[in-house]
Amino acid sequence: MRLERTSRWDRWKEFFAGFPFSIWIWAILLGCIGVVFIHSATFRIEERIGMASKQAMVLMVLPLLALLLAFAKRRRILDLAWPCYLLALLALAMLLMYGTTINGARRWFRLGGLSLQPSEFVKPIMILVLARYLRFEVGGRFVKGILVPIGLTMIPMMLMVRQPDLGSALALLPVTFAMAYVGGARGLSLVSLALMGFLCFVVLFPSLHDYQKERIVVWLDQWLTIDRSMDLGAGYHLHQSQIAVGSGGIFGDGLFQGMQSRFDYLPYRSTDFLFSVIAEETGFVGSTIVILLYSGFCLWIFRLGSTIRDRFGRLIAVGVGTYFLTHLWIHVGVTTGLLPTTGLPLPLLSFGRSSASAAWLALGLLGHALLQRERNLSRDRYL
Amino acid sequence: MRPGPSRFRIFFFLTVLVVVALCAQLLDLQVRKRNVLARERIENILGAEFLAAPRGRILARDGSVLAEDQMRFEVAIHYRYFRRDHPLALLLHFDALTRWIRREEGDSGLARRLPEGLVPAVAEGAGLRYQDGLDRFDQALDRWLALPCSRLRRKGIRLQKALSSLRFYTFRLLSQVVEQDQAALYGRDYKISTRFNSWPEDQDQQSILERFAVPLTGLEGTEAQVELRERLRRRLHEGHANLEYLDRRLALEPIPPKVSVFARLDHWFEFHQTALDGWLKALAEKRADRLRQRKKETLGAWLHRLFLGEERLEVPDLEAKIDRIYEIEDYPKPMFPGVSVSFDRIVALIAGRQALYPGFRIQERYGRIYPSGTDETRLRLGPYPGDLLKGLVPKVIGTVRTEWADPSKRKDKEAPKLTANPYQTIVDDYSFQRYSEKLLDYAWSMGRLSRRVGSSGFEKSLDRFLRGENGLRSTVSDRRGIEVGMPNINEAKPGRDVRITLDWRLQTLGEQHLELMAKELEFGPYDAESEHHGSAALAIIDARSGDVLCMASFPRAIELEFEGKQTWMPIAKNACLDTPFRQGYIGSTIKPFMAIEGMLRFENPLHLVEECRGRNGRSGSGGRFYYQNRAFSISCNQHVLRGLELHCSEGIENAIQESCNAFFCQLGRLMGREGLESALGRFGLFSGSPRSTTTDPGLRILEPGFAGSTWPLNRMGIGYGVKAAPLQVARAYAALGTGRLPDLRLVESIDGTVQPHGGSDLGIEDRILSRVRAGLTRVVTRGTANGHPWLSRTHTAGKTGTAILWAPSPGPELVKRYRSWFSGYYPREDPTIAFSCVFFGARSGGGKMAARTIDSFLARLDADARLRRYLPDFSRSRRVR
Repeated sequence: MRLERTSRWDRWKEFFAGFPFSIWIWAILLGCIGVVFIHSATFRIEERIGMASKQAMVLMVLPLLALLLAFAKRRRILDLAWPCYLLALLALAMLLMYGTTINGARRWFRLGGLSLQPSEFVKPIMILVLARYLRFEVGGRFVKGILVPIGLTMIPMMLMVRQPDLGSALALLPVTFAMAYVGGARGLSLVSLALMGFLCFVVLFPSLHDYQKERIVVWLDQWLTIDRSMDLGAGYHLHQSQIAVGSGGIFGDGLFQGMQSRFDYLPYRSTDFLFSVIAEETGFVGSTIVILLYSGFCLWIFRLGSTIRDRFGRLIAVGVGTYFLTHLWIHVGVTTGLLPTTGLPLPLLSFGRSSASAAWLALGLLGHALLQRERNLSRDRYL
Repeated sequence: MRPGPSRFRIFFFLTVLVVVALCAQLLDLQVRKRNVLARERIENILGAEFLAAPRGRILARDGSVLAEDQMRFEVAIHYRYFRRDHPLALLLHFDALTRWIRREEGDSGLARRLPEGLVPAVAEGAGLRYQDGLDRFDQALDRWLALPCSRLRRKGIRLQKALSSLRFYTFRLLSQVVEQDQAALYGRDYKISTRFNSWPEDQDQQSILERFAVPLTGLEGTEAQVELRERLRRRLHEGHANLEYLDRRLALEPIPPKVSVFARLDHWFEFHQTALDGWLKALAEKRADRLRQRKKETLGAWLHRLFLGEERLEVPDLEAKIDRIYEIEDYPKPMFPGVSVSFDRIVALIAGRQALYPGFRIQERYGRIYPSGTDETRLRLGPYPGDLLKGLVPKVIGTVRTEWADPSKRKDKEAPKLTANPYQTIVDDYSFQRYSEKLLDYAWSMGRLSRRVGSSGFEKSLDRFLRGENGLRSTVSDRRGIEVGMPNINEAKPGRDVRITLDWRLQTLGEQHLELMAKELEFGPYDAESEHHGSAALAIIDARSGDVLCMASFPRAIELEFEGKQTWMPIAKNACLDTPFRQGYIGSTIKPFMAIEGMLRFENPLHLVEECRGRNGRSGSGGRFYYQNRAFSISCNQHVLRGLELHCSEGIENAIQESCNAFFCQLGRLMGREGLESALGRFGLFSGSPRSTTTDPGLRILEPGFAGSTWPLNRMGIGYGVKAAPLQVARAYAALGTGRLPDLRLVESIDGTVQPHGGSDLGIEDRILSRVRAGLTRVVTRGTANGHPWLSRTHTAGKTGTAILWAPSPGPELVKRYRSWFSGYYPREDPTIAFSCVFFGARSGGGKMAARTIDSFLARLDADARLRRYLPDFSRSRRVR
């Protein structure tokens, strides 16, 4: 029997079978939008000039690195999950002792000229770990299917809260809940747990940091009373961000014309408040398009995830999709005043090498989950 | 249960839900609330600085400056421009407070002497505005108290200066708390300063509070800590409260300028040598080490964590700006000790580079000073305005007050409007300033919005000329207050200079003289219920031009309203312009005008009346006449008939000379009301007459005449029920002397533009006038005002007047007092000066009191070489009998 010769094209085609090119292109498109607005937010400030080009460099390098992860052997990725988890916990613990404090938060390691934010890397690692753990846990067993994943999440969460980085810590919970749900947990149990968690939060409110309490009070204040006395204090970020978003109007001030960022009234505008810059400069039309693009990106991830037939891949897909969706919700919610102020970048758009790396790590995992070749080798099937 | 692809549906749903929620919020912000938020954005960026307009000067007749605005400078530190709890601001605030407390305790002397409420005028140096309020301040204080003592130790060369500063302020604060003299604290009892280095290392981790509580309070354990914290808080709160008050006072209260300037100068040096300079230098020196330290920890970061437990992104920006200060070559030297440079130069340099001093503002203000006059009439530059506002300033020149822009301080109807419409721009009652409440905070902090307006005297009556128009400098600035755009400047329009006709020396002499006479009369403070109440006026005008030369008034030492309720009378009162007692009838000074009207109407009115025989001529009455078929008798007060059988037998001159009531009563009856109006109106003494209208912008004068009077005609014929201000009477007598009624003129020129003279001829035949003039001359030589040498010597012609006034007494009955007038002109041949002097509440009539006052005043004029020009040339004088 003569083996049919396959062309080079066919070999490449087979190699890339299932690879989500659309997601990659979509992510790069979002990254480009991010670079433009990072430039807009920083080009007038001498010491911040160059942030956009740094982000552009990151955008060129990270997709390639993510490819390596996508094409890694599944066995190897599964083997790496627990060591990565332990390493992340160790990094978070060491951060409390050796981390660099900026604005009262100890979230960064300084390595030479680079800053590394371990809590960002924890997010894709948690997706990997939970997917690995849940891939065989079929059914709605409460302890193994829900409590253990939540327990696994709570450990890094506690360490992140100690930094303090409440925003990143809370962003882990939806991912965990989503993966547990897709892993087979009962929805009612998860909803009950979420309600209990909310009650716990209310009970533990007095133990929050002063600035966290103030931010929540200020956030509530915009609906309860009209007291702008805190606009210069704890409410400064929220107030200035709302001003930026609102004054954009329908069509915005025009690219690079945002006055709130030009005159330095908008804090952290290249990272945690980047969407405010987008909204101010492009208005309702532009910011809605960005939201639609980003949410479409998430939807597409979910859509692709729903086509995966192995559990690990599905869990990865839902984890990554929820990760991006949660960040979109929190980031835009904070900048528009829907949520209390917390510092959370918008992955792929906001400046931050740690944040971008984590996003592309997650996309690498997603690419891996979608690869036909690896799917065929998987033993954890739904069918 | 085997979960399948259906579990993904909820994520599609959630994604759509997120999109809907976010878009709805965007819709709310960007469409519904767009206008409000866009306006707030503009208010973020746009700043407004009100450029104060200097008030115009008031110049005297000879060009002497009576009142002018003087520029003052003030350094203010705005905490808002620093990040929250910034160590620099924190230490400056502590420094400001301790500085104030130290002054309060009296080691500077000057502040101690000041009465309550005036301390800020001198201690204003500590001008840090701590806008976050006392709660935040408490937190800062607690944080400072919780610092480990090791921070006060000397750990290394690089930290030496910063730690020295920290030790320095720590020492000062603690020393204030124990309320001991600082020198004592260096001694054996406390040794706070040496303790910074003397405790064992195992106590390094104790907080400042723990370490110092016991030795400073003398208590034990936690009780000591609670006590120390409370003492500190109490002291600093007290300082803070006063500081706040101080700021307000500084922004709004006129401060005696010399004190202010020197205090600020001292403060400026001291401030920069200690607090600011020390810190800025320390930070600047750190710059060189920054690169080397980057791999480890920057000193700045260390310091910030040391103080605040946090580091902010903005700190490098601030440091960079501070560094730039030290790169300026012509940086003002007095920032460093030992080199003196003019204060103006410093201010100019700093003001020109305010962008380099985030949080520091040089504010320019104007203060009103009154530089001319003798000690008594000049507002001396000192801290006791209550003692000084006498003489020219309060009564004649007047004073200014601050017209508050702050709605909380305003009581007018605009305040509620502002509160109701925070964004509404309105024009206030005085139409001098447009403002909106949103700008108010900023403008208030800059102290530019409020405006000084005339409160009394010329300052009030000439306010529309003197008041300038504030300018507005709108700026575009970034978050730190650094201007990033070209400012739009609407320049301030300074007020116009007004030169008045008043001779301030003559005025001063007049006031002094009236005061002497009032003392002789035992006039007391104004009190309508007192038998000693009384007032006096001396009006002197140029008989030809009508220029007001003197408008002296008693009382003149009137305390300002803000000093309490013990004011004598409203400050705007001047007895030359108005009568403090409402029934200030002109009495017999009306008689020359009556005589003229009588001669015009009846040729020889003596033939028409019953002859007067004086009080001693026949028993019981000086004259008797019939009016409406009823017999009236009237007493003529002249006791001596000087050899004449009848009062008026020699003619109307004699009637004037003897001030014959019987004749003029009958004349009043004969002329009727219309005749009286005509007699007064011809000389500008009746409000219905066009000649009575005062066109001068500076004169707010009493409406003359007898409108509303119910006195019978015969009594009105001798001046009862007829009111006129002394200036109006003087003008009428000038007309008698010259034949021309001049317009009173107080404003000589406005910004160099001379105001026109006015006046009109009386149109009366000379023969009539000459008879009246002869009568006025005989008043001085032989009549009711005879026996006064200086009146004769200056060839004065005049007329006395006496109207009875029933004044309250300690008993149930009223006591008899007089309105004593003497009005006239000199020299009679060619009058140059006309005058009118009046005492309200005198114990004797015009001949004895008012005429004597003029006589002695003329003597004092002769004694003053600078005022002698107001007397006639005696070499040409001749005695007339």
